[in-house]
Amino acid sequence: MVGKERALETCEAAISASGADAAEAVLISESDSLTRFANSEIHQNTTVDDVTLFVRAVLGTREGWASTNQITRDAVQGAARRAVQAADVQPETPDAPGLADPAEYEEADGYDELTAAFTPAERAQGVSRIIQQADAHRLNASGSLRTRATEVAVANSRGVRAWTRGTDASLITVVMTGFESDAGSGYAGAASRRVGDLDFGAIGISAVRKCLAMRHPGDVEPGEYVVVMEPSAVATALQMLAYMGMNGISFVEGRSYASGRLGTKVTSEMVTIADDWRDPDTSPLPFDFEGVPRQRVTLIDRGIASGMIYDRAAAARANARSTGHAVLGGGMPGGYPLHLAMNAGDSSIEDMVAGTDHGIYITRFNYANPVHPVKTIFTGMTKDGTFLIEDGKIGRPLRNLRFTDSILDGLFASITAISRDTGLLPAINGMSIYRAPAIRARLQITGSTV
Amino acid sequence: MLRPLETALDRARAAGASYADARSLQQADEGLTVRNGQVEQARSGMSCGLGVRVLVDGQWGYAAGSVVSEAEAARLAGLATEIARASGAARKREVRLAPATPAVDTWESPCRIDPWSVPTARKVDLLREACRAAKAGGKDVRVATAYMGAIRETKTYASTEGARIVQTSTVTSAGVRAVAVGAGEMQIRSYPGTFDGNVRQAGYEFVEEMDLAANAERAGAEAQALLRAEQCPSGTMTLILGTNQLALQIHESCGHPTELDRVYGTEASFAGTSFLTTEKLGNCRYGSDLVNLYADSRIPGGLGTFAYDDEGTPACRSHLVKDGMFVGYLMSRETAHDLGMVSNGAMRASGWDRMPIIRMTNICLEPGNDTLESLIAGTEDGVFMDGIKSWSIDDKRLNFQFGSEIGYRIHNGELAEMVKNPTYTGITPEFWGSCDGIAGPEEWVLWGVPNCGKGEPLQIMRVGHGTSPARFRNVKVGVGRW
Repeated sequence: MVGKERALETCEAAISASGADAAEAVLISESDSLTRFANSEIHQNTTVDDVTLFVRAVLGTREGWASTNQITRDAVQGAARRAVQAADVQPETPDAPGLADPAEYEEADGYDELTAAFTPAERAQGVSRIIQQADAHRLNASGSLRTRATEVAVANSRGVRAWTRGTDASLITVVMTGFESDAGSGYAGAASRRVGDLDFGAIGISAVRKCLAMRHPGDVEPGEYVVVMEPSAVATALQMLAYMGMNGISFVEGRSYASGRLGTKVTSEMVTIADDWRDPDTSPLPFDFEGVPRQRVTLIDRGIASGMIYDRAAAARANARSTGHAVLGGGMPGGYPLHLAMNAGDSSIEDMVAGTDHGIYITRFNYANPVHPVKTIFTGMTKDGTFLIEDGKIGRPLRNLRFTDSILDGLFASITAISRDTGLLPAINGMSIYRAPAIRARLQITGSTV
Repeated sequence: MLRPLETALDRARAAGASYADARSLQQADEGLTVRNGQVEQARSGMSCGLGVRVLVDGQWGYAAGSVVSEAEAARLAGLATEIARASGAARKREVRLAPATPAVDTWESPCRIDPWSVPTARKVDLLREACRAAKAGGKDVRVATAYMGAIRETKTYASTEGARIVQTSTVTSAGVRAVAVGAGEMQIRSYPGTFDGNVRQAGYEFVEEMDLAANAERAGAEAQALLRAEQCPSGTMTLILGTNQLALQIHESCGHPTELDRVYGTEASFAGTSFLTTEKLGNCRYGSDLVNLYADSRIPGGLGTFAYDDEGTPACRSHLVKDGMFVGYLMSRETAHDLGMVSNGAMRASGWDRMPIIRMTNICLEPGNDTLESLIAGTEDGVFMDGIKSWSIDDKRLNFQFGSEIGYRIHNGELAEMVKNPTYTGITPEFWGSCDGIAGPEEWVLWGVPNCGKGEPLQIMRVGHGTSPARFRNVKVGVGRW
């Protein structure tokens, strides 16, 4: 970790070295440790320390970007010079909105000392508890425990100076009876900004129980089913929805589910979806990577498409204000929600199952991907805990099922219950996190594995 | 660059490692994106770092950092051994490595025109021209994006067994995409393909050969026409895949399931496992007799081409599927040992900050004796699809569902009307078992896939796929409600 003073000094040195009309610098420093286990033993165990400096140089309306993962004086000056060179050879870009103005940021401390200092031995001890749970039942445990400390600094030549730091920890496990086609498998996981929140024993027990119940899965015919989905599966649907349409440029260009539909009903009135960086269990990030204060944005309010997120470029095109959702290094122009959440309800998983005569219980989704972004159609498979629900009770286990349906017009439009309890699911690239409840809804099943 | 690596190996040995390797990487990259005629992004990146992998008491440890110096190398080696010792807390077995002959060598990928030698203004002009052409394809083409990129990386590798290898590679990419929007519909067409256009280990000559501007208008016109095309019908019929789509099919349903680490369960909680378990090796029918799939890390220009993988194993060609039978895996030294074999060189890391894992190299379908024209002529009722749009497959790589950018109905041996949102689904061995025609070498295309994700922390790898168009019978197309 670089520290606040040196991080901001490095950004200022880059801005100064550029000599551009205007300049912006973003520094990310990260210490990322991960212990992976499979076949009930640790097989990959890594720690990576890295720092990346992004420089944006502005010449008139022309912008150039450069990055380096070295913060020596020569490297910083070199990055500034390359950013200017990239800008210098371009034609003018009349739509460029320029850099952000200075702003006040909310205080936020998402840094947990225990998480930042968690040692390889402590990680091994944690995952060993899960392995012991699996060993006791002669099952095969796999998974990963990640602990990470990150700091972010943003500065620009207009006076923006922002810095924050945080930590995060995540644990997943899949426990299996074996590798044969009728093997059972069970998943459990948790995430928090504090590694101390992760209950290794409970996660191990949960995955083992589900695995034991999943032995010798059977089939169901394709068709539309009532489904009870755990938070992990709902979080995957949220992630797909974000990817398919929560972006200011997509919105302006008619490529988002919300294009031309703001103020209209897009899904069940039980659904409210917002991006909120203040979730106390996630690492807070009170500003975006342009130095704009990050706002809470309600994208769907009781079923009505009510808002959109923007970075500065998208806001300029939409005649709106940036909501503070610019992505690091200019990636994904238009913005992206990093802390997306669906509202909690007043039900429970137990009540949802008890209220279902015939349906399917889904633990998580695997390899979900968009099929048609405007229609919010996605596909994927169920995994690690799929059961038939019969007469209000969890019944026989099912093979992994393929679903193909619209998130808004199908899944979220048909919600009949939402749980009080919610869970967190980090994205696989570690850049965003999703909070979701369990839901009862309807889902189109289009096939199964063999 | 070798000095820090030597220091890391010495320190690892002194700390009790029975084996260690160290890898440093210096990478430069640049990218240009022009959107509707305006430069959206011009970027230049530099990255370097050093990773140390050690075996202590038969357990792996890995540590990496962005400072490449002898002092940092020593620190990383010490940290890696500490991590390896911690891994022993859940020890079930000792890692053993298949034998290898340590190489001392240098290698460089072909690059006729250095991408960094071409003036940026010339590149911008080309991309703006491609955007103009794509926009000219139709009045509803809302977004035309043209892009190109280049990466140069020099990797230095050393092991306690004596390997000392330096490899330099130059990667170039370019493409154009047209997005048409209208009446609640959005349609996309890309040229030459979906992922960054196409990507090759080559110099700027690869961009020049693409003739972006000349092909961009067709991409725009197809996106425009797709807005008003009929929805792809649902049913079971003959499917002919173009090379871009078939590259994805090979990637997902042959490349991934033949990765031996997946088979052994080490990706079980993330990427998944595989239906191609070891008892099937040599006695499982994967496809029809026509189907021959192989891994070749020596194909000039392939994104999976190198002289040595990231544990020093030489590049080679090996069959994965021969005459329809499953015959081989992608292997590391560790997994090859466990199978009683030697590695075929598939250990790759996406950067200095990642521990190598088994990855695809260039996974290719051998050409057949047909032509696309003859495949269509032999089809009474079917669909032709191409251009990767959507992909999903189960964790054992059996049940897949893919979508393409564009489709055409085939009636009575002739290509007929365009259809939109074409999708198809199947079970891997049934699908490949239904292959009854593959076009010849004249239509064989080498595609670069720059975005293959696997491993935790996530590793995005560049891999290659070569194929000709092929035909499959009795495939379920048009999945879901539209």
